[in-house]
Amino acid sequence: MPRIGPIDLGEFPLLLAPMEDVSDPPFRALCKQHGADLMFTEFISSEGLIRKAAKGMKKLDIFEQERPIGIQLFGGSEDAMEEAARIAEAVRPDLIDINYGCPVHKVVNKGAGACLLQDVDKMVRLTEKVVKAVKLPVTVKTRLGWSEQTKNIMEVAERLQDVGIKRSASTDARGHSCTRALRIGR
Amino acid sequence: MYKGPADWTLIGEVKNNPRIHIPIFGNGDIDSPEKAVEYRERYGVDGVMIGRASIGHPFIFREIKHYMATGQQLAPPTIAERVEAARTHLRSSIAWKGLYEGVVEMRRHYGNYLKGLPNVKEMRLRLCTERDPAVLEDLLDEVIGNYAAEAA
Ligand SMILES: Cc1cc2nc3c(=O)[nH]c(=O)nc-3n(C[C@H](O)[C@H](O)[C@H](O)COP(=O)(O)O)c2cc1C
Ligand SMILES: Cc1cc2nc3c(=O)[nH]c(=O)nc-3n(C[C@H](O)[C@H](O)[C@H](O)COP(=O)(O)O)c2cc1C
Repeated sequence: MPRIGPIDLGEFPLLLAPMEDVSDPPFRALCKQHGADLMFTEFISSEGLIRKAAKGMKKLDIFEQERPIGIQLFGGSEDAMEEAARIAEAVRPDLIDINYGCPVHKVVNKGAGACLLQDVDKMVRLTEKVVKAVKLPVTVKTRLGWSEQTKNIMEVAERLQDVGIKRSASTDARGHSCTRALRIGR
Repeated sequence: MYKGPADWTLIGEVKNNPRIHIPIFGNGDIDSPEKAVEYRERYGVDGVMIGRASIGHPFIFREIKHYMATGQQLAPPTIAERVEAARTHLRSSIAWKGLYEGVVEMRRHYGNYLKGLPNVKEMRLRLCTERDPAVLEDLLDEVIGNYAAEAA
């Protein structure tokens, strides 16, 4: 029976994926009502959060009836992620989730999201900082690799497990999503 | 961005790596109870994460659970249930975001809740241009009424 830290998720949990502009509290309420076992906020920029930007703060809104709920953070700076994790912990979610999967332009450009799959050492350091910064369980959501040719999820999973993550939701690495991300770095 | 199929084989390999003891949840392209069960069996993951298939169709979670528990398909939600889901979404959207934003940001969702209904285009246009929540609620009632009339 899968557990994340103290959270017992039942026999075969169904998770609602974090989705920007979709998985907000109104939508999450419906998913919860219809049986989602674990839900996540939309992703929140660590840089925005440490500046207390309104957009990020609003996304920290979580409700008792949503539990268990994870707050998802993204960022490319270890210090910003560490501080953002503490800010997120203060609103008392059940876990903190790190986004290592997002291929969209504005995220990858900042060295965040899927970009970190190209620098596993940094990914490990960043994860460890977040794990040490908070008492809550830390999970990651990632994809199989940065590109079709560099699927390094096995190394990533082992090394992140070693620094204390509690779950890895592997998503797919489709060639073209990565092509698109690579094009961004041009 | 999501044109190719998700590659679950490698997710299964991670799950089955004897060194890995953290839960591994699979994600990518799950859009039916059959697929959830098939992937569970084939790849051994500890659970699945669902994104796009839940948009406009939060019923997917209970549909999967029912199928896992009984091996039978749950009857699809009725039109009334789908419209009520949209109504709940609208109300809580207004409650959480405020009147203006709540109404406006709900517009991208109506089409998803009403997908596949006959003659939905015109109704969607009306829902997406209306600002008054009371009128929006009337329009949703109208959808249910229209459908009942058609089904009769
Ligand atoms: C509109 C949209 C927004 C998304 N936003 C996020 C996000 O904020 N964080 C994240 O980790 N993944 C995000 N994703 C990816 C989803 O969580 C999920 O990994 C992806 O959609 C694949 O799952 P699916 O095939 O079930 O949709 C987003 C996906 C969509 C479609
Ligand atoms: C804000 C945002 C965050 C996203 N984060 C992720 C992510 O973490 N992992 C992922 O696989 N896809 C992510 N996606 C990609 C979406 O899953 C999806 O492929 C995309 O939004 C749809 O692409 P299209 O606009 O080209 O149709 C994200 C998309 C958005 C808009």
